[in-house]
Amino acid sequence: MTTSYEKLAQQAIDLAKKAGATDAICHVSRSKSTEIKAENGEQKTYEGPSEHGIALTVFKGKKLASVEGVDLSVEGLTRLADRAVAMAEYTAENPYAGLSESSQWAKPVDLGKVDSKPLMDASALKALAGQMSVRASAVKGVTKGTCYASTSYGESVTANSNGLLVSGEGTYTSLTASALVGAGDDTFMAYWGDAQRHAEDLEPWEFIVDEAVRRSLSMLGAAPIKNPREMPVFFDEKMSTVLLRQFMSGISGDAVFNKSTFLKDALSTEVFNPNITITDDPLVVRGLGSRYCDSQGVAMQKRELVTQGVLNEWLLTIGSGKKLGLPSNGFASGTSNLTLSNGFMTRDDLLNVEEGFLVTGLMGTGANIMTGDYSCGAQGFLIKDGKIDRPIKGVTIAGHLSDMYKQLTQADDLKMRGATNAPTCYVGPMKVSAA
Amino acid sequence: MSVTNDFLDRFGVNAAAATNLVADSLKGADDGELFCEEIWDEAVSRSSQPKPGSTELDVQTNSSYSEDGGFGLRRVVDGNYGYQFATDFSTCAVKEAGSNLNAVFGVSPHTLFPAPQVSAQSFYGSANPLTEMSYEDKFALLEQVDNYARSQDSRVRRVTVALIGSMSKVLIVRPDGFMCEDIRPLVQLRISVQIEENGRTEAGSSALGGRTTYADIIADVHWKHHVGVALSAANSMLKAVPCPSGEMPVVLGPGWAGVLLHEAIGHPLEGDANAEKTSNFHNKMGQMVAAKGVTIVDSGMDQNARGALNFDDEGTATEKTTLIEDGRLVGLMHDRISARKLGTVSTGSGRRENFRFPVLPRMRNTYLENGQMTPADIISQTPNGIYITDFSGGSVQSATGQFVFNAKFAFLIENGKLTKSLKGATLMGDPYKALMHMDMIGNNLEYDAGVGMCGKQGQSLPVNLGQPTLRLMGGVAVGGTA
Repeated sequence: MTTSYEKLAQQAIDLAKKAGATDAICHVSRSKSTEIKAENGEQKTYEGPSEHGIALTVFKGKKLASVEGVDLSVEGLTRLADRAVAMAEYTAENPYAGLSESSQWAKPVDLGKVDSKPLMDASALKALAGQMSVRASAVKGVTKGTCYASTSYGESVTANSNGLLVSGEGTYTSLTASALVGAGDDTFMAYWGDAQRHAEDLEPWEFIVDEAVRRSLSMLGAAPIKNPREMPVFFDEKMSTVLLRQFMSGISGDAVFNKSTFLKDALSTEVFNPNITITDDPLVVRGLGSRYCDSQGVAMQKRELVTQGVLNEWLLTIGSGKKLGLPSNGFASGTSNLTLSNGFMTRDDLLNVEEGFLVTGLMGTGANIMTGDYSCGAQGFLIKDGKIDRPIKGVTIAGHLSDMYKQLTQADDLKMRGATNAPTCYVGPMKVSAA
Repeated sequence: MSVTNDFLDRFGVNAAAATNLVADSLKGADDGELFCEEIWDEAVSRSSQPKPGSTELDVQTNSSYSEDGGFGLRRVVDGNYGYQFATDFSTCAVKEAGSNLNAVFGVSPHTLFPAPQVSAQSFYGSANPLTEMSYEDKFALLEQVDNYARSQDSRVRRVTVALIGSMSKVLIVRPDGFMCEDIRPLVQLRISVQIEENGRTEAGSSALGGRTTYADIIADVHWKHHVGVALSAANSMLKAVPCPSGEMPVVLGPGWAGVLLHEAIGHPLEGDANAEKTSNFHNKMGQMVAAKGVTIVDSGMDQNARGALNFDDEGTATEKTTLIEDGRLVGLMHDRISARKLGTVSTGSGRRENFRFPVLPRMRNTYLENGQMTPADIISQTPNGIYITDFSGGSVQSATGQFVFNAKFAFLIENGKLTKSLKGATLMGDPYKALMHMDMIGNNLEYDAGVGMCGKQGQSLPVNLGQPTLRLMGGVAVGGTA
């Protein structure tokens, strides 16, 4: 199949050139998935999408335009290519856009993206999701256990008119559980899930269910705190990854060029304390974010984005790199397997404060990357004398991202699960307000 | 029933054969349909900012176009469903989807649920915006908007303007011979500006659009107004001071601030959340759930509105659904599945993002009806509090309905007057308490200008919303950094 997609991609580039393009880059992809949702043992939904598509960007000198389509016939490709070339005529010259060249390309590496064992079919997924939801709903206090089991297979080809030809395929299996607990105002629903390239790498389904149930039940009886006050705030592993992702959007080359990030002058400066190192490693075998090149064909490699607190580089594509006078460092598809380094303190030691707030859930879009202002709805646990005292909901935490980064201190509980990983973190004293 | 042959030709069948294909593929189901769709999208945009160390502008333009299409086959069995789609128009693919769905979902104990009435409504034209304007004219318009924004304020650093248009053509075929066809245009002009002063940068944005042609939105009187809105938002942010915290009266401005009602009241009044009893409103039908004077409506019938539909994605004619009337809960928004579960009929609220997605009960144009007060009286009768006219985003916890919204544009109210502009204001509360504490409603109902996108279970849809100025005298708390 891949070979035919390679031919299609090259054909689209040839058609674009025939229509008058000087250069072109093309992605062709297809995917097929199966997903089952079960609730309290009953199968609720089945979804089985199957799709393919093509995306083509053509250059006419320094002018360019992009088109997408689903008609992979010769007529369909010709129509798209002709349209793209005609559109490019009217755009302004873009001195920053361009294609990757052979010196930037990567040698293919087998990153173990394909599960060699057959993927679970609809009936196996149905049985598994059903079993998971039964386990969840059997727990006292759980009014509804909702579980999803899914698999998918996808393949894609990227080609450009400099001769780039990259093809890849991959599989996913994922399991998700949620448990609804409580009644009236005291109701919670927490999730837990795992997604892996290889089904055998998944956390046991029993663990996934139990973790969702545990997280939901632990929030019962949550209430806001009475008086707004400043207190030490901690983010659990999941929330620390949210903070890490927000940091990534603040160091994107385009954001820096557009001055739409408060970190625009932060390169080579100490953004975090010296205990913090942030690494992106695209070459982890079976890693969820693994890839040896980005969507522009530029080779990716392991990079320390932050070393001992100092920001080393922006996340660049060919275009944003040229804007800043730098070569692409392979982030056209974003980060791959991103990790905030482990700390030196146990989680218990880190949380050993007289009074603090451990955040396990954030709400709202309160992180303003342009200004660094931070104000989010939060829930989690009040900590008293280093121990979890009671669950908290309905509060907001507010501060500035630059202070949070500076004060960020990690525990030593880093676990590698998804594509972005971080340990439990202290993010400094923040204003905690009640609703 | 007659439809044009465009889709049928793609499948190579006539109307009778199409009905047979769907009847065979959904044999044993109690509801479902074949949903065929073709979508054409285009966007042109322009952004400009000074070249580093120069006053000369660096202008970048983008032009994109996409064609998309395929079918989705839905098999409903006793309130549950299977859904399979393909980017394809072939009878083979439909048959294959049918047999896969049958294997997973089997035969319903019920007979086929009766088809909806075919709608003869028409709330928008069928002209294709994508063939309306030349690329020269589109880029000339973007440049004109850019220049105008710069002429209004010399501190403008970056301007981004985008003109976006799409057209979707849908055909619904049911097993019982029901067929209907619709053409749905959608256009939008988006404007955002960045102002820089003393090293501080702030942004503001605005947009307008609807189910109409470009001609309706590109008149300079429209976009000049929206440039002004974007500039004043950025300007106000430049002067903004940290927001105070605590429980205080909150006045919401007209129009887009209605997104709070949309999220916190609209979603819990969707049929599925009530059929599944995950909404706190599920056992409150007929009861007072809001202060007297509060009437909230969801309508799919507003001419040229983003949320308007001639019929929904199950073929049911849209309607104007009253949700809360003078404080009392009187209605919910239903698709066919949630309506059956609650023993009622669909309100024409079954929508999907496109053929890739199954139907869910969704909002169309959700708004709070006018009250009696003037907006000026509401502010002047509020000794202290905050006034919010725009939110940058928010979220609602589905289990409890508790909401958190981040204000984009907020002011302090001191002694009945608007004073400083505020930054970092977060509004948090409980929708049930907030509704009960809505003690003043203005007489100035405004709809948003055509910007709303609503997300639910991974599906994103164009909607409208609106409200007059209103006051919440409790049930919400403000979280700020001051």
